[in-house]
Order: sequence, then C-alpha cells, then structure tokens
Amino acid sequence: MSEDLLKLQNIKKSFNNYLVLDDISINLKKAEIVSLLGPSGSGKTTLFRIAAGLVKPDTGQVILANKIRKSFVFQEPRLLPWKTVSENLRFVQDNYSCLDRAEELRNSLLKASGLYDFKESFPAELSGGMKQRLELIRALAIKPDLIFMDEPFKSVDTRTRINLMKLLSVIQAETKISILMITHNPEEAVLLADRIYVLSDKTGKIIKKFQINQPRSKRNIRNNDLYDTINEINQIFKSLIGEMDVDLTKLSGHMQKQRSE
Amino acid sequence: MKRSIIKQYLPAVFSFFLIYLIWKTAAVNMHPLILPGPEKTFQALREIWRTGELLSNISITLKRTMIGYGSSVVAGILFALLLNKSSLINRALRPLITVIQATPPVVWVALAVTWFGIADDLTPIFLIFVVSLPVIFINIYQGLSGLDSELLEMAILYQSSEWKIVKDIYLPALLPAFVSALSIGFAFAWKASVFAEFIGSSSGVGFALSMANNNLQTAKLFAWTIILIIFMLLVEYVFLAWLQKRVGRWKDE
Repeated sequence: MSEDLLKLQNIKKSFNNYLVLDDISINLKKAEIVSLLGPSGSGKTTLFRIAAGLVKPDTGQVILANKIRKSFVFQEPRLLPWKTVSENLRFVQDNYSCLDRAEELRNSLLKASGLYDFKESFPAELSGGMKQRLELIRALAIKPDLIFMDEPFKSVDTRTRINLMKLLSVIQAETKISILMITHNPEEAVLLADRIYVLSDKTGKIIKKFQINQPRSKRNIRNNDLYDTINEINQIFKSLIGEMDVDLTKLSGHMQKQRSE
Repeated sequence: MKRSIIKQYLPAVFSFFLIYLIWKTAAVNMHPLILPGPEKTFQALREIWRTGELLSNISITLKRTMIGYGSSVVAGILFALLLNKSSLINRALRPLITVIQATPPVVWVALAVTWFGIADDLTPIFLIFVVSLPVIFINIYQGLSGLDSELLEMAILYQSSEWKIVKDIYLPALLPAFVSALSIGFAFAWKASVFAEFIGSSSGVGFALSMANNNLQTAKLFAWTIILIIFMLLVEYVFLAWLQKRVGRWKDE
C-alpha cells in the first residue's frame, strides 16, 4: 500500500456561524484520481480552497506528503492576458528551476492539446475551450505530483469536455500524476476517478463513497456498472433536492389568497 | 488604407477650414486690436519664430512642466500604492486628495506667488504638481483596485516570487491606467504651467502670452495660442497615441 500524497482529516469549516463543511475526511494516493462530487452549494469550492492551502479549516488537518509539486486548474481559466499562450506556460515553468527540458515539455503539451499553432497568440484571441485547454496544460507543464482541479470542465461545451477528459486521462496514464477533482457532474467523476466522495448539499458532509476499479481507458458510460453508479448518484442528488422542495401547491394557494385580498 | 485615412481626417480638415473662413470673414470688419485676421496672426507667428522667442519660451515651459509633472507622477503612484495597501491610510488621506482636487487652481497660484514670488520656476512647478497629482493618483488607484485578485492567487499558488508578481502582473495590469493617467495628466500639467506663468512668472510661454496681452499685441496673443494648441495636439495624437497602441497590444482585436 503506497503512502497518501494528500490527506484531509475531520475538516470542519463555517462562515458566519453557518456550517459549510462538516467532518470531511478524504485521502489521495500516488497516481490516483479522487473526485469530490456534490450539487452546487455543497461547499465543494471551499473544500478545494482548504485542500489547496488557500483557506484554513476551523478544525481538522490537511496533510501533504513532503516535497510534492502542486498545480491547479480553476473553473474559469486564470491566464495572463498580456502574455502569449507559450509565455503563459513559461510563466509557471520558470518558477521551478529544477524543471529540466522545459521547452520540450512545453512544446509536446502544446501539440497534444492542439494549441501549438496558437503558441504566439494572446488569450483574448482564443476560444473558451482553447483557454481551458491552456489552463489544463499549464497545470501539467511543471510536472506536478498532484493537481487540484475545481470544476475543470464547467465552462466548456460537451465536445471540448470529452476531448479534455481524454487528454487528461492519457497524460495521467503516462505520468502517474495524482488528481483531486471537484465536480458537480456524475459522468465526469465516474469516467475519471478511482474514488468518488459524494457530498450532501447545504452542510457539506460525505454521504457516500464509490470505488471504481475499471481501468480508465476502458470506461464508457454505457457500460453497465458505470451506468448504475451514475444512476445511483443521480438518485442521491434527487433525494437531496426533494428535501428542500418547496410545497408549490401551498405557495400558489397562498399567492391566490393574497391576490384576492 | 489610403482611403480610410482620408475618411478619418477629412471631416476635421473641413471643420478647421470652416473656422478659418469664419475667422477671416469676421476679421475684415474688425480692428486688428480686437480681432486680428489670419494673415496678421501668421505674421506674428513668423516673428516669434525669427526672434527665437518660440524655442526659448517653449523650452522653459516644457522644462517646468516636466519637473512638476514628473514629480506628480512619482508622488501619485506612491500615494496610490500606499492607499491601496492600507485602508487606514486610505481613510486618512483620501479626503485630502479630494480637497486638493476641489480647490480652484487660481487659489494655488495666488498662494504660490505669495510663497515663492514671481521670478522663480517654483510657482509654475508647484501649480503643475498640485493640479496633476489628483489626476495621476485617481487613475493609478483605480487601476490598482481593479487588479484581478484571482490572477494574483494563481501566481502565488504557482510559487511566483514577489518581484515576478510585480513585474509580470502588477506592471502590465497597471500599464493602461498608467498611460491614460499620463495622457490626461499631461494636458492638465501643460495648461497649468501656462496659467501659472501667465500670472506668476517672468518667463515661459504663459509669460509671453501675458506680455502680448498687456502690450495689446493681439496678433501675437493669437499666435501663441495657436502654438500652444499645436503642441498639445502633437503630444496627444502622436506621442501618447503611439504609447497607447503599444500598451494595448494584447487586447483582442
């Protein structure tokens, strides 16, 4: 059993006395992809920020393995608008002096992502999908051990999402990077993750854990096991929404009464 | 290409020509002391050029503008950085800047003449400084507050050094605000320096204007005005336009 790269232990966090995360514990080993899956408002982004070290938890611990290199993929691409595609990659690469053959790596990532012909372009000249691709390969350009991803495919269309997921899974298979991926999309989680933690809405709490043992390259959402998992997750989400369902009959009755007054 | 240049500038050429015609027609029936015609004005212009008054006065005014304006640029940037850094300093000093901005320039000139006298460079330099400081400050300050905190967070997460963050994020992000501050500030500074020289100095373009005014040399007054306008236009449309174009290279075209 290999050691954990990242371990969150009993994380609790509240804002203005409102409990956002309640007793979250997860772990991530080398070469693993772990997904935190939850509906919006489940405190996913807060958990991402805590794991990335941007926010301190009220209680609990974030334990990172020694000397690991971290990188990040954000919901909306955070690119420097005044730097070209290639310079945006260099911007992060230059911070890691021990990175050897940086240019070679940069060019191969640009080619793999289809951005090579645009390496002298500025972000404003790229489409939304291209920007997100750049965001993704920037995270890979520093040869990280661990990537934190916050809804990495949220701002792109379906086709780009599938392509990006393929690209990510191919590169991950080669490099054995560990990934902590936050998402609200069960399909993304099931296709990419080895382990899925499902968060409840309102107070973020882990309510279910899935282990997916099929090799990533062979996964397909029409495959029975995966299909069932997706369905199960959707059922959980549905029941969560059911809990906070407003009684519409009551509401409309109330409104009618008001109108007649 | 050529056609678009014609399209761009033809209306302006036309309106200038119209003003010229109105001026010429109006001047026919007026005494040259009240309204000198274009010919008399151009004669005065030639005279100013021939005697060397033009270059000597422009260089004096320009020197003062550069000193006053340069120090207001430095002070404006420092102020903006300081007020952006600490909200306590912001609350303490922000009203002060508003007070400086709200005070009419003529009050500053009166004070400057009282404090520094007439013969000195100090009166125009002081006025230029005081008038352009708020303009520079406000532009830079707004640029700083509009800085994308998500980009900063990204740079910090990727272990960028502080120097790198300044060089690769702060500077390029602030450059457009900086250039617009320079542009607006320069117009303020140039007008302020002529104004200060007009009232409180014994040299420079403003002083030449006031001499022409006192001696009832209206044609010369017109000539100096034309010189001032042409100079400002050159700075605005040639130098600053070039700078603006360079700065915005990365914005989508």
